[in-house]
Amino acid sequence: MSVNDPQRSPQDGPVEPISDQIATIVARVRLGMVKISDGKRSAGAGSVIHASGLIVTNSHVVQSRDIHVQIGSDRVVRGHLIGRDSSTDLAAIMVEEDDLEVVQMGDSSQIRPGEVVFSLGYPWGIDGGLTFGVVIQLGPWPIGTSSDRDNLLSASLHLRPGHSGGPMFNSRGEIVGLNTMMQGPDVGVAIPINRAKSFLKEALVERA
Amino acid sequence: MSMTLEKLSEDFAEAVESASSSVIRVEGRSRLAASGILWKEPGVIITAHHVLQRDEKLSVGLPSGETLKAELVGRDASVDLAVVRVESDLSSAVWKATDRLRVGHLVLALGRPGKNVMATHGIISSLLGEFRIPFGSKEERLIQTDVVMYPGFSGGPLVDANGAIIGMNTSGLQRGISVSLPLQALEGRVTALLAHGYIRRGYLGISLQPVRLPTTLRRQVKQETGLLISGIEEDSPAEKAKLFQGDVLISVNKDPLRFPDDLLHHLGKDHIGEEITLSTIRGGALTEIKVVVGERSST
Repeated sequence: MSVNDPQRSPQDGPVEPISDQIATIVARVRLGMVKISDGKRSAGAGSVIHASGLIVTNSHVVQSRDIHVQIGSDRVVRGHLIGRDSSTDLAAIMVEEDDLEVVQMGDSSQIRPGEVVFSLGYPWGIDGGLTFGVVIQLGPWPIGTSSDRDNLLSASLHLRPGHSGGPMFNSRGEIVGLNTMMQGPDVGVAIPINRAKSFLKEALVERA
Repeated sequence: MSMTLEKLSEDFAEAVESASSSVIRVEGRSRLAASGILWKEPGVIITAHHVLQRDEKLSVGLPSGETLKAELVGRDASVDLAVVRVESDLSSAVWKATDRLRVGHLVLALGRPGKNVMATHGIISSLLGEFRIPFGSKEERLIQTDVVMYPGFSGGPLVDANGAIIGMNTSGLQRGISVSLPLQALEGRVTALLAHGYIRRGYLGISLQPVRLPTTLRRQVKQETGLLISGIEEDSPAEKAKLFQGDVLISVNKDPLRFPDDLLHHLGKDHIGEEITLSTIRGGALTEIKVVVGERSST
């Protein structure tokens, strides 16, 4: 039964449809997620932002010159670094592909504490490990720091090595952040997607 | 209409927003600030006792960003509660008593250790039954959740999916477990602290341990154990009544005393000043001793 099935009976209990919805959204986001490695070890994940091969990830995920991008379950292509900024931990890479599935773009300025969010990635290399929680806040993290650059998206979910660069997305399946680090075992911290948008704009302009 | 994920997410965010105007930053320790909640009465804020490491130079941060000086009203360390007062007419209208709370309900925990309100989520893990707390009293209504209490979340509210504040969270009451004091447990205590500055408790001034009674006595008093007095405080009601170390208490006002908890029921604040009769074994013989329950102003 599809989530948008208008025939869905109102007697359907609330729990099952919600887990169905989660599964549907996650499956869709997963199509636009890629695995990034240096050819030997998996380094993290990335999100396809444009169908013609533009991918955004963390700078620390693409430290090697060799960038191998796994699309889907088996196809591996070479990635080309088109920009990176280690201070914001962002990087943009291109793959020579067209018609890729993309991750739907969200707006991190609209994020509110309490909203449900999910993170996908390759924790310890495991394909597409999913975790979920709610937004703790969009603001300086750790608390007490104050520059705008420290405004990060923190959520009550469990990021692990390999989630890095992967999408943090909302209940509509829109990417709102890039998984970046964990603060202790119980806080997942992401770079707000709007910062990645400005970074991409700059990276593309410089390249042009 | 069946619930959608998007609606659930929206409801959570709404719940956080509606409760967030009652969530206060409380500065009363050297490291990270903690959280507090506007009470129903204007200018009153409740927080966790353990996050106020000092009694003076307290301040609070309001949702508006304003910082105000706060004065300590009182503490009830037994449930990790403290009450402070600020010069403001702010109060909270979203407190709600929780008779219908069940294990499995989704809840949110809010905090404001910094400028922004912060939120996390969890489920009700257990509604604790009679729960023993220090200083000889009991709290029968504690909420246990699986909420991860982030640094500075203690003293903040537990919020239901509708945005009502149903309790105050603390990680300082039971080590490693997140518990919340529901409104019903807070109400009497906050009122007492506002009226007296402390919680009134009855006391006798004795330390007790249960002991097995000798066979003949067991038959005579028809109980297996009594309470051996292992210590007596100076100037206490017990000392004045000439209770002695080594006495074994058998009953209070004819109610059997088998375990220390049995005595606590007779030492509530309503019993302060009341004369109680203790049946005691002294030198192998039963004797009756009258004691007036004293008042201890514990913090």
